[in-house]
Amino acid sequence: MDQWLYLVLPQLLLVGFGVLLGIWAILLRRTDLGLEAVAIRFGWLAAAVLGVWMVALAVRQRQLPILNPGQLAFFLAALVWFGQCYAQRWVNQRLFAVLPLLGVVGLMVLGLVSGLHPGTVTRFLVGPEVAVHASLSLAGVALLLGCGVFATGHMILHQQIRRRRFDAWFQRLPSLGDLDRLRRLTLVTGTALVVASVATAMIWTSLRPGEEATVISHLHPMLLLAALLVALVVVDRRRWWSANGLAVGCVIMCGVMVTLLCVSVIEIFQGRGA
Amino acid sequence: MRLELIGLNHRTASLEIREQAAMAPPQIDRALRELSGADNLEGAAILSTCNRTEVYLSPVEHHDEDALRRLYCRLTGLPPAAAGAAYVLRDDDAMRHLVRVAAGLDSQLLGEVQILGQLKEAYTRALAATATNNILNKALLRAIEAGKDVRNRTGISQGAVSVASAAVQMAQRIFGSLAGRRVLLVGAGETARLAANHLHGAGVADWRIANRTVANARVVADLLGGRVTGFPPGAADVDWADLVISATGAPAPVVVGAAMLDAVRRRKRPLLLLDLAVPRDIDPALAVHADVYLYTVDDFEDLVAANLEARRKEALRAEQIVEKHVAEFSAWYREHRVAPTIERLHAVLEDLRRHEVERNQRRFSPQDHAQLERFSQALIRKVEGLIAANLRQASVQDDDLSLASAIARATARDMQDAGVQQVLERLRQEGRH
Repeated sequence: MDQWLYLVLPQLLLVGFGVLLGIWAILLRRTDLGLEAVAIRFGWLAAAVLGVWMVALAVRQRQLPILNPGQLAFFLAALVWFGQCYAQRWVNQRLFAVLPLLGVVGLMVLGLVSGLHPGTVTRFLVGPEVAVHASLSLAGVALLLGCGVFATGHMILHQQIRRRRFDAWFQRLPSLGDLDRLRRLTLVTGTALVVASVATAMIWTSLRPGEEATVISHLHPMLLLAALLVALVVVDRRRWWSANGLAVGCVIMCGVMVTLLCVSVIEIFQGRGA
Repeated sequence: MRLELIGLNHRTASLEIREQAAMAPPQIDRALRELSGADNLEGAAILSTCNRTEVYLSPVEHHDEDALRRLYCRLTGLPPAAAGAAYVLRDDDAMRHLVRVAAGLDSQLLGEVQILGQLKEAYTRALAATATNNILNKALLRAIEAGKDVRNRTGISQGAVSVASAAVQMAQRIFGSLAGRRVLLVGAGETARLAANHLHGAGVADWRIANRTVANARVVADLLGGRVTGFPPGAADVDWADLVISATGAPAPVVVGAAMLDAVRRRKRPLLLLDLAVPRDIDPALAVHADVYLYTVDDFEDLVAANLEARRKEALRAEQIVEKHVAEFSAWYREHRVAPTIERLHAVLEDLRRHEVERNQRRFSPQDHAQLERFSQALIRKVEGLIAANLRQASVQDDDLSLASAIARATARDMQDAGVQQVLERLRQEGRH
């Protein structure tokens, strides 16, 4: 059973998402609405299988997949893909599905390389409060990664329109208006979730006074991230920058977030929390 | 295959000849009525658009080319002297042409979508006049399906191919849906109206119209459901709009000025400026902000050229899809051609079987009689299957399709080679037991 949950199914999922990436890569080169519909349906199926696997894993280990960096990578990949499927319902992503898929496949490879079996679990990672905090945090990160993807799309299309390049990117990306709307939505929702995750961590700290030092050291990067995100949301709401300027800001923020997230994860599994 | 086509289009005939050959709906109905009662004809359909007038026929025997041209001239009213512009295609070539027409590959504007609707209408009209037979029904339905398939699986119909529709495409690339967008139209001439019509069709409902002659502005405003504003437009108008289209005949820019520049700098949402006038109407200095996109006629011509090039590339893939549909139709036709013979064969064998079983009824007990029924049915199924397979093969190779030759082939080859061998093998096995 463990072999299936921690090795075989994740590998099959990686193969499935690899195939999906291949289909979308074909669609980068040519228009085929029939194949596109197949790819969208296959994407929903992959999301469903991923969801079932995560539930089975959570039931088996009595905790969400957050017990080691490999599980975190898979959890994040799943959230990114659920978000992509959800966004696809509102705005046709078309060839833009390739970017989230690259992220999903990359995270899955990372997860499999670092291993999914948790081995000995530290007390620090057990309990419902950790599950709530980690879920909020990862959901926020997934949305902010989506925000980065939409912002990248906005930058690409903006450049194509400015430079009068009427190529496949110009023809097949969602419109600037749609990309801007999705970028703003994911930025605001992602920020709210990250702030909520930091708040739950604070509550958790007060409930477990003995672990204050460990939690606070992991929270430093998250607190900095939350502060930067709130600042970006204010700039966005006030429209102090142009739409393209905001898109550039979001891409930079995404880079900062990934760095801070890595620091935070290292702090949990290699630092004082380990 | 019994399919014929005679027609002319923009490639073979001048506009003057096409006008003479064009058929109005009542004329088509009259022609279909005439054709449905004609000798040597089982089905007919007529497609008449501004670029082509084509008559599709399913004859009992192929007509000679001169007879077809005379028929075409009589139906369309085209003078016999101009009949040389008409092309005659038969069987697979006629089917290929029909599918290419449906796919937009034979259109003047490569990949245009209207032709598919026109073809559907032609089919509906022929059906209503009970002028089609099953071959023509199948051919037309297959062509319509192929047209949809080509558009679904290739980008042959994508991208604007006129300046006015390119303006809409650009607006959609920037704003997405145009419903709820506000447009300031500067000018009320033909170009401005054409662009406005396209945008109106794409969902824009909020308009301000600025024109030197207020009466003309009012006419356009009434058409679009907008309101008239002063000329030249002010900074407040530009600040209000998401999209500005300018197409006046003014010798100098009309969307210009420090106040306008200030309004553009202050705004916090995207603005698309479409300058369709020569000389230009919109001051290029207004594109100061990253969210302001200024496009001129030259840019749209580049966009149209890029779209046409993309369509040409997609046409190569579309041709492959066309060939697939033509081949499938041919396969269906071959199968269809032998179906009546196979049905007749089945009826004859079944009659013989029933007669023999009834004649020998008294010789068998009820249990043996049931077995005899099963045995005789199985026997004629085998004989029928053997002959039908030969008929189908002959159909593929366009050989003699008579029942006699199929039976001759079946007995000469299969009975000896396969059937007898099977029986011998079975006897050998039973001997072993």
